[in-house]
Amino acid sequence: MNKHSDIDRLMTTWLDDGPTTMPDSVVDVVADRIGRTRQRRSWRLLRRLQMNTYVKLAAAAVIGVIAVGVIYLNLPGPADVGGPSPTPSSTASPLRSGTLEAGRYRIQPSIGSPTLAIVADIPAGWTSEFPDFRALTGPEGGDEGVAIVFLVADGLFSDPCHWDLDGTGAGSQPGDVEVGPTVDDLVAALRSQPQAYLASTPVPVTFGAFEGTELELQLPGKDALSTCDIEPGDSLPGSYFVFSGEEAGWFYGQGPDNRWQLFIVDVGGTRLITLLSYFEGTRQADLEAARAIVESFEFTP
Amino acid sequence: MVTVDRDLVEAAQRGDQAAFVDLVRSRGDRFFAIAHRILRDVDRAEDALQDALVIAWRDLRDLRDPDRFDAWVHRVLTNVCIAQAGRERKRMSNLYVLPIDGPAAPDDLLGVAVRDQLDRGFRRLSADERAILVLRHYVGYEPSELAELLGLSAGTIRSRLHHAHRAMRAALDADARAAAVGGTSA
Repeated sequence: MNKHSDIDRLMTTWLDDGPTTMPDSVVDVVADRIGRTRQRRSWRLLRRLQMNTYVKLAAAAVIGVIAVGVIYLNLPGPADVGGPSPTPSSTASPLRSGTLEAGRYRIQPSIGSPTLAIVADIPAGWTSEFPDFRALTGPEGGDEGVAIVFLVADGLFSDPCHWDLDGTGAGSQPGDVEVGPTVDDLVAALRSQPQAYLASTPVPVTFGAFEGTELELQLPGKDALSTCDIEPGDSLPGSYFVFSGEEAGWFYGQGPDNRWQLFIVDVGGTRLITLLSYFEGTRQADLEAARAIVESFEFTP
Repeated sequence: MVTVDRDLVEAAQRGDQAAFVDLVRSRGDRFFAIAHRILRDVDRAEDALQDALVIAWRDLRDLRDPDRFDAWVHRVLTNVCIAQAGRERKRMSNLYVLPIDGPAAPDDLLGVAVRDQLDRGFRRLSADERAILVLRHYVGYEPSELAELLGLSAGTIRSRLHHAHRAMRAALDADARAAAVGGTSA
């Protein structure tokens, strides 16, 4: 056999060797441990974040232009371009899906802005929902849960409860309220909607060394939610969509009386919404942990 | 590959511990084999499998499609193995040696020398690359499936596979050169 010409076959044969029987103790240990482990209530993150062709092309073009600029033209890299100059730690680990150990992680909050990165300190027990969803979820789910969600919205639904404007039931349809490109445009649009979801006066905030706006939305209770449009196959009571857009239309109210704390900031031309989703039943410690994560953000535009 | 029992997965998602234990019994051998091939150590593979299965139990309600149970556990297990390998690497400071369990089987098709070369090449790879090789060549995932499973781009998967294959070939070449000049490959 020519051992250099067929590495695929060599690897397959070599890996086939080895133990194939689980030690008996595993079943007993796992049975014992799951008896002491409560299952998390799931989040209503039903739609998979899809990158459409336009966003893929735009992302590829941005990466290409930056790569050419940095490598061949000796232009400054993304971290050197305009605005504040945060310096995210180089020791941050890339964010994987699944339960996280305590540590410092590098998050890419937007598919359409692939050079935009956030470095954040995340405690043990939080779960990364990436890459399916741009979200981090706390130790609990359901109406005790807290989540940190990243959205880039280009529109709103004037009636977030009756968002099925084209009658298809597809939650990815565009909203009927167009919004300008700035943070102020989005805040003004949120304030001008007839829906009474605005729960706080928008206030200026310094967020990850960038100036932005913080505000809170109070989503409806069970009775009102039960009258809302639903996606085919979704569970009752109904779905409540505030934002629309390729990178925002996947996230909706997570249940009755859901509360959203929003931090809206322009980072290098990307209007990023960082959204804390929580409930009255969310443990204070989990909510404080979520806010500590957000306060630790360092941006690279 | 054994077809997953959808009823058992759905029962486990409703909190039925016995159903989950049945799933562990029916599929644990395969999961353990994967963990062992990534970590190359029985005890560490056992620890990783236990941790991964407890995480899978805790997060099982996040699984949308019960028919995807195996792939979903593979992802959880791979992440646990990579994390454990990372911790081990830090603990062992500058010298990183993956212990290899057990002697080669007497009826080894590859021969002891080639196995030894592959072992040495494999242990020099990063945990991510070892995991990708195992999922590709042992489990049989296509690169596009690996990209979806691990949440990486197809390009990244191809790049890591290419690098891992090249490293494995280099290990074989190095030993061949050493043998040609009278050196030892041990």
